[in-house]
Amino acid sequence: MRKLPVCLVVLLVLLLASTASLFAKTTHETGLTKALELMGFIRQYHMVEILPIEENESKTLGYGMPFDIMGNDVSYQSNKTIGRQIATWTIASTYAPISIEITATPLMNLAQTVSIDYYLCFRYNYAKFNDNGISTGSNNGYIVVSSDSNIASTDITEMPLKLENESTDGSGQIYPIISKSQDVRFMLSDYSDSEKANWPGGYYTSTVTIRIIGS
Amino acid sequence: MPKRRVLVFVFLLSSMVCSIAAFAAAQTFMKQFSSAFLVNLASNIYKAHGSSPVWTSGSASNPSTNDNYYYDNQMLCTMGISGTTESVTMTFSLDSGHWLYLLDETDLRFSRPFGVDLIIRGVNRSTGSHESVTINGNQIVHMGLDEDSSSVKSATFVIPSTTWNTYSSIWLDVCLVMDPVLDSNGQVKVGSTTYTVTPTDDNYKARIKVSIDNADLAGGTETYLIDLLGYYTTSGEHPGSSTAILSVTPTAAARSLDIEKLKTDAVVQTVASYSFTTATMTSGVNTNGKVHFFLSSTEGGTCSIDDGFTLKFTRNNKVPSVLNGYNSVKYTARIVSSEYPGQTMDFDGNAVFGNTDNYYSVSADHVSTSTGHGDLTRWHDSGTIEVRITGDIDNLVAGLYTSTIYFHVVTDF
Repeated sequence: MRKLPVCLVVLLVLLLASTASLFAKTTHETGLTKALELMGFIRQYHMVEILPIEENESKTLGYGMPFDIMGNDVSYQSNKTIGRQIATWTIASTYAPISIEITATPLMNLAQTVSIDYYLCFRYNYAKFNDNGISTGSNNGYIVVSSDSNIASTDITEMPLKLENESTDGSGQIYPIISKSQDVRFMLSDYSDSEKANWPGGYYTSTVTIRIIGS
Repeated sequence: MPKRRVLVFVFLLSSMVCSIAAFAAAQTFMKQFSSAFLVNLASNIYKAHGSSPVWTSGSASNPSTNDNYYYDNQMLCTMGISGTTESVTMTFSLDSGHWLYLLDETDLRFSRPFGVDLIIRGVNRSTGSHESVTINGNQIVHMGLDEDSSSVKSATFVIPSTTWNTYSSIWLDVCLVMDPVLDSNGQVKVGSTTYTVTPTDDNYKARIKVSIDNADLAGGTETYLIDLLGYYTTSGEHPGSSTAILSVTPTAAARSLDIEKLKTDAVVQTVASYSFTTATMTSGVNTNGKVHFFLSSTEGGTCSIDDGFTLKFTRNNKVPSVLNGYNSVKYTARIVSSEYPGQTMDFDGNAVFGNTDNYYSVSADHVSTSTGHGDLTRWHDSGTIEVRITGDIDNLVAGLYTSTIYFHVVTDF
């Protein structure tokens, strides 16, 4: 009979101990989550796509379309690789090297009475490899396009452009090109404030074309 | 007599312990402040400091350049060394090779230059007080920003051995400097170069590596990594953590996996490096607690799906709604720690929050100091993520395949 209270006390202590340990620990999913995107391929294929970005409703992001062509973020700058991000583009091919051509038409108002020229910058970024197929870094570059076909500038990328991916060790091994979701940026040509002041209000539209023309 | 023998033995043992303590190796320490973790790159509070800066409680709010006061919310960390009489060389270098916050290390178009002010502090041997220390005539050393950031790969700070005649412990209060501030277009000119940031919901990153060389350190060198995160948005706001940093950086190979080769040759492909650290905590935490990591195929990490880690045929940014042997292939991912050798864990993509069997865990790094900063506890790890193709590839159609690995962090302290 005397053993029963002892057992109860032991049970109580154990219960308290387990309760204490339950409340001593605080486990949290921290919300610190990072996404790692993988891209792979099965030969043989080509693909190219451009996806416009829509500016969100609160207009706090500062990128995407539509945008105000009078805004500072799209005004002319000497560095034509910056500007407002309006889209992402992907180019991928297992037939490298490949040649591509990008063209753009000027922005026109709906009445087709005003034509506004601009620059686009397409970034590309794909993995390069050595002879053993080991990744050795990235091939990065910028393709700068003007909607004014008459403009002559060393800043403008000559078309067609050849993208290649030869091994870095010199064996001549050719590797595929996968440049996914890189940014496309917009910047007006060099207009004065007085020229801009004459542009009528309203929507302006334009067309951009990317073609793979050979491999 | 037996009692006397015991007392003598105890005395001898005590003497040995004291001797061992007296010749203990030098100890380094680092406390990272939470204000370092996610800063607004357009902020105007990170001004350069004057020649005799003094720590002050409270928070900086747009102090003027050469202000002689500094605050916790300007500090990246404090780091130092004690227990030595030899000279100490601290070498600061940037992972990217530039004193720049970068959106992408392969893209230098968008960056924000920064620097650090190293404010020298120490414990006086005679008085035990914490005071400013003058080395080579300076109480503060400026690094980065005002130098040509494209050419400065590293900078050193030396504590001469004679300094230890006066001080028992020396540390640096490291303040972030982003002076001058960005203009309304997100640009800043430093020297002859104009730097630009662009609005994004991603973070800008920088990593300062600090090597501390001293003859009394075990191995002669101790290394610390100071991870920095910054943001730039048109609204000036960003919903991010202020007490921990998780960084996952893909390798170039992650963007170009030759699925057939990986499977046929049984290649283990490294697809990313990761690093995690918490702010250093001085009290109120369970130092026996842990931080857990797990990899899953779902962003929420709260529900199990049968797909697990699967590379899926992708066209026009869309994946098939029904997966089969023609349009998808399974793989596994492995965490490989570089800070805790031999620690690895495999994941198939179905790990969920709450299932502790699927956690990769790290314990606290706990350091006691006598510098006035108290006991320091933080959790940290870094390493790589590897993938292996496990599914059948024979029937896969040609094309682009994509998949996403989500790296989750769970705290338990």
